[in-house]
Amino acid sequence: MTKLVEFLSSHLPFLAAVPHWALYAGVTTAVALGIALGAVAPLAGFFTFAERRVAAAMQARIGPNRVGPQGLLQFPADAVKLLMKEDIVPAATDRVLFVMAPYVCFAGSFLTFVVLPLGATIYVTNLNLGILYILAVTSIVVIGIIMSGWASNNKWSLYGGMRGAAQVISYEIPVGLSILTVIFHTGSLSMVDISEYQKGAGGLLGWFLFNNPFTFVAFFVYFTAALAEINRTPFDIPEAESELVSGYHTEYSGMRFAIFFLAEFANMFIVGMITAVLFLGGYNGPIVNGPHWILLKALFLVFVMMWLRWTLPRLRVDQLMNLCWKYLLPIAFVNMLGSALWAAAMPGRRFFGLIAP
Amino acid sequence: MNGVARWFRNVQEAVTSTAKGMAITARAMFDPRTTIQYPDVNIQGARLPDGYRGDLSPMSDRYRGFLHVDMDLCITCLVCEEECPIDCIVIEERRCEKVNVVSKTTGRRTLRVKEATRFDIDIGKCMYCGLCVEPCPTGAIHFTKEFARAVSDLDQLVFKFVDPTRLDPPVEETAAAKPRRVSHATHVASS
Repeated sequence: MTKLVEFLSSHLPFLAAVPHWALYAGVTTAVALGIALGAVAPLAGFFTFAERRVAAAMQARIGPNRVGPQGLLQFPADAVKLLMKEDIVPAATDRVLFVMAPYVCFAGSFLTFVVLPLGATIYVTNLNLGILYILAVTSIVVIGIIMSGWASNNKWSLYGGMRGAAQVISYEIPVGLSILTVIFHTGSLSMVDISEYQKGAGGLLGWFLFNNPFTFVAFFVYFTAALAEINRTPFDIPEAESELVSGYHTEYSGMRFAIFFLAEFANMFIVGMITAVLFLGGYNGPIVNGPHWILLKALFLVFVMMWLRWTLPRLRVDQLMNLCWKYLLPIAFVNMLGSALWAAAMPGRRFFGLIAP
Repeated sequence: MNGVARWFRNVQEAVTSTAKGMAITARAMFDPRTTIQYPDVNIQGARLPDGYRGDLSPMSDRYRGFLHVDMDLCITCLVCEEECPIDCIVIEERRCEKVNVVSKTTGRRTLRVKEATRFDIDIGKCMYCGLCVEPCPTGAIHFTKEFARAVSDLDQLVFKFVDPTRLDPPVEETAAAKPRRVSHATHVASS
C-alpha cells in the first residue's frame, strides 16, 4: 500500500501538493471500496443464488435456472430489479437512522475482510489484535439492526431489533470463550499467526480442530454460536417470518433492503472464513498451501450453513436463550479451562502428536 | 432422572438429532427432482425423462380443463346450454336425418333428430363448474386436461365445434312440412 502511494505521488504531479497521510487514506479507502464492490458484493450475491439452488435441491425442486447458464445471472438480475425500485422511506420513521442503518450493518460485516488472511502473505493488514478486532467490528452489525428496528417505527421491526440485540449479546460469550481455546495455544491474536501455528502434519493434523479434544468441541460451539450471531436459521428469530413479518427490515425495500441482504450473506462468508482460520488451518492444507484452501473451507462452511438452514426448524426465543446460557456457555467454559490446562501442561503438543510424535 | 443426567441427555439428543436431520437432507439432495419444466417439456408427449409417465398424467382424472364436444356423439338436445349458469355455450340447431347414437357414458342408444349448425363455448367465460358435463346424455361434452391457452384476442377463446363451411346441405323438409321450430337458443346467440 505504501509503495502504491509513493508510486502515485511520484508519477502524478498534481498529487504532490496533497499531504501524504491524506493520500494514504484516500488510496486505502479506494482500494477497500474496490474490494467491497468488486469481490464482496458479487460473492454475497452469488450466495443468495447458491442458497436458493441448495434449498431447491433439498426439496426435490430445481430452483432458479432461467437467467443465464444454470441461472447464474439470477443475482445480477435481482440486484438490477432492486436498484430500479422506488426509494421508500415510510412517513413516521426516524429518517436519518432509517437511511443509515443498512450501511452500518454492511460496514460492520465488511470491515472484517481487512484482517482475513488468504495466504501467508496475502492479506490487507496483519493486525496483532486480529481476532479481537473482528469481534469488535462484527458487533457493529447489531447496532445497525437496532437502528433499523427503532427507526422503522414499527412494532415488528422493533421486536426484531431487540431480539437481534439480545441474541448477539448472549452469543458473543460462547464465541469469545471458544476463540480463547485457540488463543491459549497460539499466544497471539493475529489471524496470520493463528494460521501459521496450524502448519504441519500433512497439512491436516495441525488444524486446531484436531489439536486437542477441547478445541475439537470448541469448533462446534463456535460454529453454532457464530450462526446465532449472524442471525442465520435456525437462530433467525430477529427476522422470524412467521412471528415478525420480516423483523428489522420489514419496512425496507429496494436497494436498502438489498444492502441488508448483502450484509447478511457476506456475514455467512465471514463466519466461514473466521472458522476456517481458527479451527481448520486457514490457508494450510494438504499438497499446496494457499488461498484456494481457505476459500474452499469457507465455501464448504457456507454450504453447511445452508444445509443446516434447510434441516432444522427455527428455535423459539426462550429455547434460543436456553441453548446459549444453559448449554453452550458451560460447555465453552469447560473447553476454555481444558484447553488452558492442555496448553500449560503440554505446550506445543497435539492430541495426535501424543500417539505418534 | 436428575438434572445433570438430563443435561447430558439433552446435549446428546441435540447432537444426534441434528446429525440425523442433516443426513436426511443430504440424501434428499440427490433425490430426483420432481419439477417438470413445463413450457420446455412437452407434457403431452408419450414419455419424458426423469421417469415422468407423460400424457398429462400428473393431473387427476377429474381435472377440469377445457371443455370439448365430440360432435359425433352430440344429439343437440341443448341440455348443456340450458344448464350453463353463465350462458357461455351457444348452440344453433336444425333437423337432420335420424341416427342412433350410442352413449359413451351409459351405453344407451339415443335417437339423434337434430344437428348443430353452431356449437360455441366461450372458454374465457367458462367457470369449469361441470354442470354441462353431468346431464349430457351421450357424454359428448366433457372436460379435457388441457389448460394452456394464451391468446392475443379474446375471440380466440371461443371454441367453435362446428365449422359452418363444412356442414352438409340441410335435409329436405318432409311432406308434413312442419314449420321449423326456432330454437330458443337463437336469441341467446344473437345477444
